Amino acid sequence: MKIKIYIADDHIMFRDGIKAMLEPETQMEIVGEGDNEKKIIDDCNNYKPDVILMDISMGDSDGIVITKKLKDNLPETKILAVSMHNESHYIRRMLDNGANGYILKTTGRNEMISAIKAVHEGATFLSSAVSSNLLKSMNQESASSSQIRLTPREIEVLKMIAEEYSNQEIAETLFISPRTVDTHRRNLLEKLGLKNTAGLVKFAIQKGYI
Amino acid sequence: MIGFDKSFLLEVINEAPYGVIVFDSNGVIILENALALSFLGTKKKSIVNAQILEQFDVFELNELIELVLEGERARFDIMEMVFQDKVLTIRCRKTDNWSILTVQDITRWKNIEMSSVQSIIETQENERRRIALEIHDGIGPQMSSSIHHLETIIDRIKEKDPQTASELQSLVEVSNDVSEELRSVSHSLMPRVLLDFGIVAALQGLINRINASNKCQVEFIHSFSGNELDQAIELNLYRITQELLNNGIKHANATNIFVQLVKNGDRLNLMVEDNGSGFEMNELTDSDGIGLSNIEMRTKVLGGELNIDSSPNRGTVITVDVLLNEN
Repeated sequence: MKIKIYIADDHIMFRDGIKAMLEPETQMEIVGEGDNEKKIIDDCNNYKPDVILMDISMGDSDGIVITKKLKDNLPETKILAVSMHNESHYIRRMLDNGANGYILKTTGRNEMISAIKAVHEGATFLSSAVSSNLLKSMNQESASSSQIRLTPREIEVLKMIAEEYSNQEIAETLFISPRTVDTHRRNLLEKLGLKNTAGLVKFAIQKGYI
Repeated sequence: MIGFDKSFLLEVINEAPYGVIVFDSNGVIILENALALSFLGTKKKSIVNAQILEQFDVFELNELIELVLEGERARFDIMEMVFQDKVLTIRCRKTDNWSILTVQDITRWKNIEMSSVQSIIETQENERRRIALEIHDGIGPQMSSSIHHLETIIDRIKEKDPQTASELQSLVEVSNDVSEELRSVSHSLMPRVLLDFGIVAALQGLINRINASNKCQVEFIHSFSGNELDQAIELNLYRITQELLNNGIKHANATNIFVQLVKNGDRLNLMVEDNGSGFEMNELTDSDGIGLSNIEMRTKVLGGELNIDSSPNRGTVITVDVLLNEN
């Protein structure tokens, strides 16, 4: 049984490149191609391909949206994102919407063929650049949600507020303008979820800043 | 006191296209015209005999008037002064016995200037967007598919003609570099992720790339998801941050920068703090000045407020405060 492949991409040259590339692969067969949402969805419902190579930015059509719609209808069909985007937001949205793999358009021939085979067999396939960006963004997320980061200058301002210095005094000591001190104060309140200076003092004491 | 008939003089200054106020060496007003009264927004019929220092509640102006009264200065010009809801040009000239202050309303010109700046920025950004998308969605994928074609050919001939195959392989390598270069050009022109996912995602991406270069450690702290902003605000804030990071790394040699985006009710505050060399505010070189004036322009277009604190060896803190329209 040949793997039935559908190419969803709005650039004819790119589609032709993929066709030429997959031509020598005897166990793969291209069943269709499309460059817009309506054609891609209609074609895939008709041809029931095994693997769809899905671009993301296709003019007015959005591969992320199409993936969601196709997966609702054809849960068995594997979708491999083939995109120019390597930022984590695109990768995550694509995977959230049911894509089985994500490779970049700059991916070499051999990796593309491995990726098609892998998703066809039910595995998840990510290019190395893709998975490293994904990991990085997940690390950043857990780092930022676990603690509120204060900058060194904010901590200085916080200490001086807790020690009852005025904006003017803080400004002179830290070589910044009273207006910036005020911005620091507002940002501290917002970031720490506090209502007033008393809250800041309490926080500074709890954290052992003074 | 004056060699002319006073009613003649009043007639002349009332026809002048400027607000005119004349005061003596004690700061007591001896003559004014109707336009001056209207700029002051006063309901009084006349301010003759009142004190000039009590008319405009603007520190910068009063300071200069005092210098004139004390005889330290004979003249001054304030090209742009915001007063109530107007932008005024105020000039002062001292004669032997009195001083003449003229007031000109340039609000309309400032508005025209602002809207032309705005349209220049918009045109420039639209053009950048067009070129960036052309590269990212057009030339980029075409480049990739040429590379795929090459790889297909290499695969076909590599056994019969390994020499040609290896030559083509080095062509693939060069093409991959070109492809990477195109990506980065397109990205610096207009990050797609900004258009698709907003300011927080775009800044995170920008900062990740800077950190990967190991020149400087940048930390990004933000207190909101950042997906609900107007695109013009996002784009201008992104450009401002880009410029500030660039200044901090290239000019101030900062090794540590904090970028914060904190939403506070209907206000959004961007704060960039660096530990770089800092500068004396009045010793900015021209090239620094251009960078900062771009930031100033964009802040103005956003209707925001820019604040710069810097001193030598103490780093720089720059904040941009923007009022968001909650609708």
